[in-house]
Amino acid sequence: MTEHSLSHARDGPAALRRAAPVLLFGAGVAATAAGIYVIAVSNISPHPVAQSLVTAVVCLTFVGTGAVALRLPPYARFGLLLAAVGFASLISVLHEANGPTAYTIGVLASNVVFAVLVHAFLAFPSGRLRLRSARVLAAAAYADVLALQAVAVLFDPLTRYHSDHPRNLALVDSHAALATSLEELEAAIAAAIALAVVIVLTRRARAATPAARRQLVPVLIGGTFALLFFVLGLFLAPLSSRAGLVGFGLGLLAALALPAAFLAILVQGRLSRAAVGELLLELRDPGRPPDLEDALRRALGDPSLRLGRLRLRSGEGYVDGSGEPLVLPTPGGVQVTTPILYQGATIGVLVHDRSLKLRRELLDAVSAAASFALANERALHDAQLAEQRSRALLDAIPDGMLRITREGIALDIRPDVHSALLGPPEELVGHSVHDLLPPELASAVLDCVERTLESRSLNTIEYELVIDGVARWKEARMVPSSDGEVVAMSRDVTEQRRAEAEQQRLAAEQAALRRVATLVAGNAPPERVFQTVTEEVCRLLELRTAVLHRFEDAQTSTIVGKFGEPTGRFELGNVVELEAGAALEVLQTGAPARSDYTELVGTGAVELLTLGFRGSVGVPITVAGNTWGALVVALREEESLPVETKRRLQAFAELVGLAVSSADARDELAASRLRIIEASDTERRRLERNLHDGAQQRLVALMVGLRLAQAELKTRPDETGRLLETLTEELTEALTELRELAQGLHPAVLTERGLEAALDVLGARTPLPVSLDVRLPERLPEPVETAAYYAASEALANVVKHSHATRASVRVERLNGLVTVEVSDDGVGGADPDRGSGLSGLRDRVDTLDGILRVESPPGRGTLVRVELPVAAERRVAVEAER
Amino acid sequence: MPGKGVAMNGEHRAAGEQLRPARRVLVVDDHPSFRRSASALLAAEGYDVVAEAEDGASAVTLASEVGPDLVLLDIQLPDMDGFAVAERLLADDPELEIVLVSSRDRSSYGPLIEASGARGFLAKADLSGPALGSLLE
Repeated sequence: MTEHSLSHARDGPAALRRAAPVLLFGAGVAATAAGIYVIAVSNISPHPVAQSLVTAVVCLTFVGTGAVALRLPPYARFGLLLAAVGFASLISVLHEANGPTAYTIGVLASNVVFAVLVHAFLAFPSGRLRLRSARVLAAAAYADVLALQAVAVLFDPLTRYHSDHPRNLALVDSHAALATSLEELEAAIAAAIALAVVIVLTRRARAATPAARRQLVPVLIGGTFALLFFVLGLFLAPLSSRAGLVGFGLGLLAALALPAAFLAILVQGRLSRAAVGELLLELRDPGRPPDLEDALRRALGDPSLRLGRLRLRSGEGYVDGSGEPLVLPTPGGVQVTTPILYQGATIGVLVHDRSLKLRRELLDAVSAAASFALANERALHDAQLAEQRSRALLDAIPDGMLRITREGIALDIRPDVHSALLGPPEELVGHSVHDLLPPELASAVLDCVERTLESRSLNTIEYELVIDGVARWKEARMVPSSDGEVVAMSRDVTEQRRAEAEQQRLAAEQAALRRVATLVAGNAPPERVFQTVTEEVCRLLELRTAVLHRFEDAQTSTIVGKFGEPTGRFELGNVVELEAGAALEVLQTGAPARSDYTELVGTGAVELLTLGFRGSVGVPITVAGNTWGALVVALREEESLPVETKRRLQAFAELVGLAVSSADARDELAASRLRIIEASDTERRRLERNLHDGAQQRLVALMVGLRLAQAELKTRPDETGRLLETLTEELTEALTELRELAQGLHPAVLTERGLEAALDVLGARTPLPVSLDVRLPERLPEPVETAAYYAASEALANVVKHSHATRASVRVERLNGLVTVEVSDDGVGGADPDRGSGLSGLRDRVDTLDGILRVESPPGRGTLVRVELPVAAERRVAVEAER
Repeated sequence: MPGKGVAMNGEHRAAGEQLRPARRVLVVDDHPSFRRSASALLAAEGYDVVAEAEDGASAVTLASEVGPDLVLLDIQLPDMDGFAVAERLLADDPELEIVLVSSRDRSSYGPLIEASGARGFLAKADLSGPALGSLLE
């Protein structure tokens, strides 16, 4: 098909639809005219004028209304039915025709108008027979008035009417009684059908929606009367043609209720369209937000109408005005739904009376109005949502906000947490920035506004404010927002600044600690460390005075470090009696302390107060678990306590402690070396003395004696012989002394035979029983072996000298690189390991080898001397020897 | 401590007087065996050992009591050393002849001996009449 012919195909029916009502009404007028002519020329019409009038009124009314309905698509079918009633009413006019053919047709179809009326009543107002019962009734009515009538006519001679009426061409067998009976049966069936129709209509009216019921009631009443009259007419017609005619006439007049009711619907539709206009006006009125659902109800004349809005969030399902879910009616029910479309998408739904579907145009208009209203609603909602979001976004940002003109007028204000505003923000809008902010800040802000507008870019200012006595740092960022206007966001950067300051502070602290630690690590003299610490502490804490105490006893301290201003007695090198204050508290508690001089009594506190100090903070210096001293900073009247003073002081105090203990360790090492040297010297002196006083003297005397003997040999031989005897004794003594001396120097058996043999000899020489238990798989390195021997030797010597023991035992064992020498006795105990040079010398020897000397000597329970020597020391000693 | 001085009997003195006026000698030494030997030797060599002392203090006291010509003085004494004793003896009698002795050799004391004002030094092992005599000439 070409496009051209397609458009023709569309145009055809449309043109026909436009022409059909006119054609129909024309046909109606023509038919009415024909009917009136038939009546006018009729020989048998009893009341030609009345009948003509009734015929014309009835026929033109039905056909006319039908033509009007034909123009409205939903009602076109019903319009045809109405027209059919009009035309059917004309057929009975043929009953008055003079010609036998027309007359016979008139007789056969005289009652068809009853069936068409039943059909029309049942199909009001859609023109369709929806219910099965309606279809059955309509079919029965047609059968009754056409088929049964036709059968009756076959036997009806029609003699009971006028004698001059035309001949019944359909007459088969004249049987008046049968015909009458059939006609009465027809009337009875018609009566039953009429009753059934009334019942069906009544039911429908009852079940109908209020809107539909309003339309149905006049149809029901008119229909009841019309059918009643028709049935009466049918019953009377076999008896009296005139009575039948009157019944039919009244029935037709009563049936006029049908077109009347229909026209009422149309009029109401007009009114509804006016209501749509009103609705639009109402919706347009911005001052009064309408109840849209109520307005739609009024516009559609349907009080049961519900308006459903598409759920905004999910886009699925509908909600009513109060947000509750809207239940859509099930198909086939009284209510139906009509979607509300906006730009092709469904944004809502109308749930309304089914009957409104017949008024499509109205429904479309109202739903269009509703769609605009809903779209507006949605747009409003979206806008509110967007604003809400923006507001929430602003609220979520802790920053303050200021919209301000070039002239400094505040257009919008939102203060931040720590605001600099001079008043409540809502009162300051519209005021100059000079009324809002402190003068200097106001000028700075205006400068920045100017810069921002000039450069058309982001500009930042920073400023400090004192809010509630606390200094806070702020940063304001400005961007041009529109012509001559900027938006400024102010942010509190105090925490950031504080963090930066804290970082710098920590870095300074670390640097100061590092300087002190370098000194400590470099074995600087403690005095220098003390001095440096007091100096660094003052510099770091930005205080003017720091003092380092070394505690001497429970009340006294020596000032070993001092930096800063005069502090009375607390000057470097002074020994001071501690009366009160932080240093004394540290001394007593071993913990950090703080003191306020105004709360203290005593001359020291008064003296310090007079010098302008108000208090002090001190921390302990701990060396080997004991409180060695205190690092104290003094606060002047005008100085405030720096943050974390105690912790920071403690870091320095630890370094001081380290310096002291490392100096102590060095001193102890030096002392130990000195003792070793002294012991060695003493030993040499003793040896020299022993040699000199002993063997040497004897030998010298021997020499002199021999000379004397030589001189006197000849002169005094007898005396010389005695002298030589004496000299021999002297020589024996000298030899004995030399032997003993050599034995004391180093036991030869130790060198030659090892520790066990040497201890065996030692035990044998000791004047009390000594049990020996030596477990050594191999010989020990020489220094260890010697130290072990002397440990046993010294301990046994002490047993002999002090313990009053009856026996002693020596045990030597090597285990896991450690040699243990234990000497125990059953003596009186109570030995003091620090007493006597023997043990002290032994301790030095053991220390040199990184060993441990322990003495357990409970009174009355013997003594145990235990020496542990690491064998690994061999390696270290070897390395030192190489050096 | 005068009690520590020991006076000699006259037997030796008589023997020495036969040749020439014997030098009167004070022997100072803390070792009794040396004192005994030295005294016997000196006596045999013709010296008159008038007294023996065992320490510095008694030496000074005895010297003032007996007035010896010669003191044989051990350097190493228990209370003070021979140099100190020599100083005090010479302070009392600058003419007194003092010979220092020691079981050590001369090099152990070196310049101290020169400075002491003594006539000389003798190792104890070298003690003999001629050796002493050569120092006193």
